[in-house]
Amino acid sequence: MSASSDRGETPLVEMRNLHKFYERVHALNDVNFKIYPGEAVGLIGENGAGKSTLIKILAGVIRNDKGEIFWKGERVEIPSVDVSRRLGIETVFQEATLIDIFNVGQNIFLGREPTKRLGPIRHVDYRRMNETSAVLLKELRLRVTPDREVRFCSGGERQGIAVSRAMHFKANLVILDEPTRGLSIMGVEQIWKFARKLKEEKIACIFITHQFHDVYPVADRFVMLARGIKVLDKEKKDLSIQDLEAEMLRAYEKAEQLASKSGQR
Amino acid sequence: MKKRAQSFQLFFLENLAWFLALFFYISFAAVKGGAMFSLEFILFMIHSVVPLGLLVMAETIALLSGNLDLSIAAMAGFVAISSGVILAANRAIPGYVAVLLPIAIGILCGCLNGFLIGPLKFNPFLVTLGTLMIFDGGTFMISKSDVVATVLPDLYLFAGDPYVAIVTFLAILAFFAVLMKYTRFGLHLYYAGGGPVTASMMGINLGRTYFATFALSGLLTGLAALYYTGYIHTAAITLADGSLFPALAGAVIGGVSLSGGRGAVQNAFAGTVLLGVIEAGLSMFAISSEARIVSYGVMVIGAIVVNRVRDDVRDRLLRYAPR
Repeated sequence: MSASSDRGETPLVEMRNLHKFYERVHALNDVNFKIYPGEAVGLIGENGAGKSTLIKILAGVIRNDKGEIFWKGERVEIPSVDVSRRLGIETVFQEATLIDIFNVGQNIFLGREPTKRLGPIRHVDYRRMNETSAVLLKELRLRVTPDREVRFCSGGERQGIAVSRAMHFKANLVILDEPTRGLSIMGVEQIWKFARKLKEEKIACIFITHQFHDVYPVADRFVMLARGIKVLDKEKKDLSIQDLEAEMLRAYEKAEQLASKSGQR
Repeated sequence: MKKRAQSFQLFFLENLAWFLALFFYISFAAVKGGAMFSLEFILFMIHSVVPLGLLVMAETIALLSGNLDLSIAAMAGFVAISSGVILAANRAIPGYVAVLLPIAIGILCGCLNGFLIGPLKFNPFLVTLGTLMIFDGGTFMISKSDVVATVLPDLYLFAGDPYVAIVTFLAILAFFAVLMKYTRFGLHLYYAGGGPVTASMMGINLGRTYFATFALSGLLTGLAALYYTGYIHTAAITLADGSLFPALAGAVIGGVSLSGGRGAVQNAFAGTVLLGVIEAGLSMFAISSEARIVSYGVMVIGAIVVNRVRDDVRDRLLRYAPR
C-alpha cells in the first residue's frame, strides 16, 4: 500500500506482516500497521474485516500467529492485557470497560486505586480518587459527579469516563472500539471533543468503526481492512470524504478478488 | 434542601434492616411488655445471634465476590468437632493455643473451597455443595458421640460470657467492615463480584481474589464454630445445624445482592439482628418449632421482596440525582 505515513520518526507502534488464523479463516493476512505518537487513526471496515482481531492483538486479548510488533522501535510480545496496559495502551471496549454498579470515581481508578499510609497500613485514598476524578471529568466537560453510578451515565459519558482513565494514567495509545455506536449526534460530538483532548495531550488514538463519517472530522489517517487484508492506508489530507467512499468500494472488490485467488471462502 | 432529603432517604434504605429490627422489637415489646425492655433481654438477644452473625459475615463475603458458599454451616460443625476431638486428646494444650485451633482449621477448610473455585474455576454452587457433604459426613466420622466429652479450657469457652462475646464480635465486625471498604483487596473483591470480566481485564486476578475470599469465609466460619462452642459450652455435632439458610437470609435482608458486588458486612449483621429479634419474639409467643421453620421460609422470601423494593426505590432516587 502507499507508504503514506513515513514521517522520519519512530512509530509508537508498528506491526509487521501480521497473520492470524481462526480455524480455516484467515482473519489477518500479512497486515502492516503503524501509528505515530499523537496521531489519530480511523480503522475502518465491515464486520469481519479483521479490525477487531487487529486491536485485540494490541490489547493482549489474543495473540498473532505470525508477524512482529514493535513498541517505540523495540520488538515486544503482548501476551496479556496486563502487559498491554503496562506499555501504555488503554483499550476501551464497548461493553466490558466499566462496571455498572460502581461509581464513576471507582471506575476511573479500577484496579489501580491510590493508597495512603496510616501507620503500617495502606488504605485506599478515597479523597484523592474523588478529587482527581472531578478534575478529569471537568477537563472533558462531562457533567457527571465522581459519586454517580456508571449505570446512570449516557453512552457518551461512559466513553468519557474511559478516556479520562487513559488521560490520568498517561496512556500513550487509546483504542476506542466503535465509540459512536448507539450514540446520538450530541454523543458523537462529545467523542470528537475527547479526540481533540487526547490530541492535545499527545496521546495517539485508534478509532475502530464502520461509520467512517463519524470519525472523519477527527482522524488524521484512515486504514481500511477487508477480508483480513489492508486495502487502504491514506492521510486524510489526500482523501476527501467522497474519495473515501469510492476507495472503499474499490477496495472491497480488490479484497474479493484477492480472497478468491488465495482460495478463501 | 432536596439533596438533604434525598441523602436521608438513601441512609434509611441502606440501613433498612436496622430500622426493621427496631420496629419488630418495639412491636413485640409493646404487646408483651415489661421483660422485653430489660437490658438482660437485649443482651441475651444479641448474644444468641453472635455465632450466626459470624456465619452471616462468612456468607456475605462469598456473596459479595459473586460466589455462594453452601458449606458454611456444615463446616462450622466440622471445625467445632474436630477441634474438640483434638483438644480432648491433648489436654495439655493451653487455652490461648486452643482458641487458635478452630480458626486454623476453618481457614484450611476455606482454602479447600477457594482452591477449587479460584485457581481451578469450578462452579461455586457445586463445589460448596460437595464440601457441605464432605464436612457433614466427616463430622460424624470423627466423633462417635453427639458431644465431645472433654473439659474444654476456660479461655476456649470465652464466648459464653455475653459481654465478652458481644465486644469481641463487634471488633471482628469492625475489622471486616474496614477491610472491605478501605483496602484494595476489599475493593477488588467487590469488583470481582460486580463485574468479573471487566475486573479481570483491568488486571484484577480473579482466581487469587476468589481463593482469598473463601479463605476469609473459612476463617469466619472457624470463629463461628468457636463462638457456638462457647455459647452452648460444649462441642456438639448439631451446633450449627440448619443455620445455612438463616445465614443467607440475614445477608439478603441486610442488603447483600445475590449477584455480587453489592452490600456491606455491617448491614448484613443488621439482618442477623433482625432475625434474632423475630426469633426471640416467636419464642416469647410460644410458637411451635414447626411453625418457626415455616416462618423462616416466609422470612427468606420476605427478604427477597424487601431487597427488590429497596433496590427499586434506590434506583429511582439515584437516577434523578441532583447533579
